[in-house]
Amino acid sequence: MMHPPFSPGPPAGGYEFGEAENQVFRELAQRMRWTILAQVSSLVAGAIAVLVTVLRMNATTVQVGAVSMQVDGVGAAAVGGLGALLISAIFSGFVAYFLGGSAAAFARVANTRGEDVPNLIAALAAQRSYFGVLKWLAILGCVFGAFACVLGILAAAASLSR
Amino acid sequence: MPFGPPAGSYGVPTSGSNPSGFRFSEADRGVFGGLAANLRVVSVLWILFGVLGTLLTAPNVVLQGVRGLSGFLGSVGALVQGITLRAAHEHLRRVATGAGDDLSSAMAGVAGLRPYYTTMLVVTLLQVAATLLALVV
Repeated sequence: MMHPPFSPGPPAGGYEFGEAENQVFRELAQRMRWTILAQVSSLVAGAIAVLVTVLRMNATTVQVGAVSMQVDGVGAAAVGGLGALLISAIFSGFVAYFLGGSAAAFARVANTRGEDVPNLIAALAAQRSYFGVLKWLAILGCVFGAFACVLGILAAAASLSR
Repeated sequence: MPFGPPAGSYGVPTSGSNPSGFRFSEADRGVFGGLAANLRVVSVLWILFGVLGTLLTAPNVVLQGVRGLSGFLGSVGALVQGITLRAAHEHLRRVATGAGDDLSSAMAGVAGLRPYYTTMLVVTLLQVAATLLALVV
């Protein structure tokens, strides 16, 4: 019986995940897509909240998701509301951009054959970028928070010394 | 065995710490390592923000009711997300360092991201509900 002298084996990335693993990838991709939709719905709810707040005219606080701003008067309510909405829109756009790409790559792992490992790595690389930006935003938030605390303490000390 | 390699798969021979025999390339490990490093920082900060935020916003719920709910939900969500990311980080770090079975650790890390996104989804939807509810009460 003749055997081929050389068997090349599968190409790099030729590993195929089983159905149980593919189910995990599908679920993760699905949850990411739902999260993007939830972010969009949060943006819409925020826009409605700003509109209602401005129409009520006597409101003093505008809230869009977790972003809350103290305002005074109709013009300030509109400006504050749009500012909060803009911050939420930027965050939602950032989430949609990175999670959309990652979710598509995770779905490709589950739904295609022959490229599971490269697709997995592409999905994780998108996750790395997402959490990388999130990390720097959080660090920036810490710096601003610390700065605000120092200013608050200084202001309190100045008012006590008077 | 959930992650057995197909016949003729590339990879190193089976060993005690790597039963599937599959090994990611060095470049792939770099991706796992970068993601694990980011997850570590984010998880620590999220837990910190979550604890501080929960303590600071809890009185708002008592004082303002539904109007103070959105920030409180976000803080509790951040705390839960931070805890879930800690677990995912540990598995992904094992792939990056080559400790243990690459495929099992990678799958555990990927599966560990699911609760993070589930929490993010649920919290966002609850915040939407709280925002809309605050308009009518």
